[in-house]
Amino acid sequence: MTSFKTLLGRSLGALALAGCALSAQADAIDFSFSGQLAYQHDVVRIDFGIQSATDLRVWTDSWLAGANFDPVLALFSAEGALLSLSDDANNPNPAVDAGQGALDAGLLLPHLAAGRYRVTISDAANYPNGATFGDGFMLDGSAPLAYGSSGQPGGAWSIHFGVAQAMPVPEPTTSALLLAGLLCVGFLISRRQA
Amino acid sequence: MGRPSQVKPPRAGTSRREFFKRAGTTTAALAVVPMVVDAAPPVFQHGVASGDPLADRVILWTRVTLVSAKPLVPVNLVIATDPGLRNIVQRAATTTSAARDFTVKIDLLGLRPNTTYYYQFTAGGSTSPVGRTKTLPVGSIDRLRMAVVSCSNHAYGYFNAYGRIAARADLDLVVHLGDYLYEYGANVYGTARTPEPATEMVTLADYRARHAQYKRDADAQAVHRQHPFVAIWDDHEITNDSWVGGAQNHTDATEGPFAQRVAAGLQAYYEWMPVRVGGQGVDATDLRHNQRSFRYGDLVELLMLEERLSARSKQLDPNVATPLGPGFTQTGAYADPARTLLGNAQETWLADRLRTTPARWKLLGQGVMFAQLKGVAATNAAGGGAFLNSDQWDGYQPARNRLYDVIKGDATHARVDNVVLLTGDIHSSWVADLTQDPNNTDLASGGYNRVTGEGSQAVEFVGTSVSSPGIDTDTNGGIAGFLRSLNPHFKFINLHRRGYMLLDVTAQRAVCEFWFVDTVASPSNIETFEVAFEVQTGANRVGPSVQTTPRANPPLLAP
Repeated sequence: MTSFKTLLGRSLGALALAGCALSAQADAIDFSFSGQLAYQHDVVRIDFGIQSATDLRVWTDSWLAGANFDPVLALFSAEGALLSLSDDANNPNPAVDAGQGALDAGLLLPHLAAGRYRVTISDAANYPNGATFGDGFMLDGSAPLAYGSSGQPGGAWSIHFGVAQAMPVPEPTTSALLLAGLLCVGFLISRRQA
Repeated sequence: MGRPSQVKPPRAGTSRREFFKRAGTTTAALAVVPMVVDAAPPVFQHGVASGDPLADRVILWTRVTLVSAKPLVPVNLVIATDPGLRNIVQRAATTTSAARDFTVKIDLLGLRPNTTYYYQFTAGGSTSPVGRTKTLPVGSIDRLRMAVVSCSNHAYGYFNAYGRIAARADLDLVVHLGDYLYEYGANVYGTARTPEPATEMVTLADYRARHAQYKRDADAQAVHRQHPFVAIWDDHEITNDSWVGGAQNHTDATEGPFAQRVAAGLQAYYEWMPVRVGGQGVDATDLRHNQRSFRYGDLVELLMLEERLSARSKQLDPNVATPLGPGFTQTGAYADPARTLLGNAQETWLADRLRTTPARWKLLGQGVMFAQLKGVAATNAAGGGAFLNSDQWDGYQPARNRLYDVIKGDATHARVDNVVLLTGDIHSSWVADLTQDPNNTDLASGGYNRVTGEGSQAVEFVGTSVSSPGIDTDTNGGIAGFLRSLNPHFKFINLHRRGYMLLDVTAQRAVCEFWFVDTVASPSNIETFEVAFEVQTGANRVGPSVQTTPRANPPLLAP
């Protein structure tokens, strides 16, 4: 990995982009963020934790009919085991969230246990290689192919998280604390080269 | 690498459009859009299956049917301890592709021993039926209960036996002893159902299509959905009466090199069967070697043998006539100790497992009958008489004697007690004391007492077929009775019923119940208990028994 940048969860408000929507209701928290990949073999990693069992929805809508790269989402456990994988609507989930809009890939994980997890976004040509994060991705070590160059789609990505809580939380004022406690997020874009 | 079309969730727009593109998009195709959309095939039309359970892992299998513009199809899996999938204990994901015929096989690790699990796949916008499986126990175990099946011929009839086994919630596993599918084309061996393809399976595409047809059978899906399988092949998974270098039903000149056919058949087999390859499973460096063992705590070691493709010497021709047709005596090439069923490596492995396993019972799951089957009776001293089927162990007597030597022990090895052979292949039910000289009544010279069972070294239960025909005309037991008169070590022979064996093992005894279905000519839920035999620990000979009692409050069947 020759270059990467890390964004800490607490600085998301500044860095994650205009589309970042944070809404906390009595029984759900949804938020979004987005960024830009430079090369086709880049992989976005988003590490987060869940404090108590929940239904987790993760989806992406950045393909925009080919304006940007075709994204694949993967969810890994803290130990790196591949838990879920999605590429396109219907592969595997037909729908993830009532308000999802376009769905380019979506993960749907009912009753996901508390713990730390990692979501990755990568190009559809760059699937995870195997059953663990450590197995790498299919384009690891390949020659860099720049997004946005001649004939290539753009590198913009966006991702949305929806977390349904097991227990409704009555006080709206706690929502900020809840976000911090329920789901702390950091992400990292790694450029994988051999 | 972008996709060819816009996706508008949640409707299945992508797959519909891609379907027509791949189907050669024309106005003719577009004209039938509404009908075709409604008729989109189910993604999980081949069901789910589990197999090769160990104490901490099990193989989970499915196959997806969908049109994908991309080479890889993501498949997700959850496994839970409840049939409603609320208490999810693990998740996993993988991909499948045309390279593996869109089959999915996940070896799920980190499970708890002796635990019933429920699992479900998600792919192509659909969820699979919920499957149910169970890991092997460890430590001190009081009971094992399993069904034993063989010879499931789709063309010949309905898999009613599978359906009955699926309804039994208290089984630990199902053992399939081979001939899981048959190679023949239409109207060659059975006319109840038309095989797919309609021709004999020879190529990879043929084998895949035939496996797919078997996995679409409702009873096959039911039994796979409810129980983990431990399966070995016999000959028909490739072709009839196969040996290491060929088969009765194979012709190089018209069907290509035998090795090429075996490779095609085995590729499809491992794609479509919940069998572990690599690790503690089949030797990944030689897929013909599918012998493997399963430890059921301190109670049972289940040793599954490979008797066709690893090393088996070619079957020899008859050399003598018997009242029941051509037979053979143990002379000439039949006496050649170089001839083998298992091969040296597997013989060594088997001897080692038998001698060293701490488990009380040693169950050998294997393809062909081990007990002697004669058409002319005689003691060994008088030449041994004439045997009927050279494809069975009778055709490999020196190799069989080597296994007897292991069981009987020698100066440096203790005797191996409590060996029980479980056998399929011949579409009929047999219970046998195992002795090398069954017609010799003199115990002192290695003979056998048919009344007391003395002289028996181990026992064999041969299960009837799920659907393949036996000697269906022997409804009065005339032929069976004649065979018993020549072969005193058989305690039960039934040649005309279809069904399965139910094995119930405790530390004290191993009971084998014979369950028969009423017909295979049509779907039916009717089964009857026929008879039970048992072997007491340390006895090494069979005796009469009674029907066992199912376990109370078994884990719920999968919905």
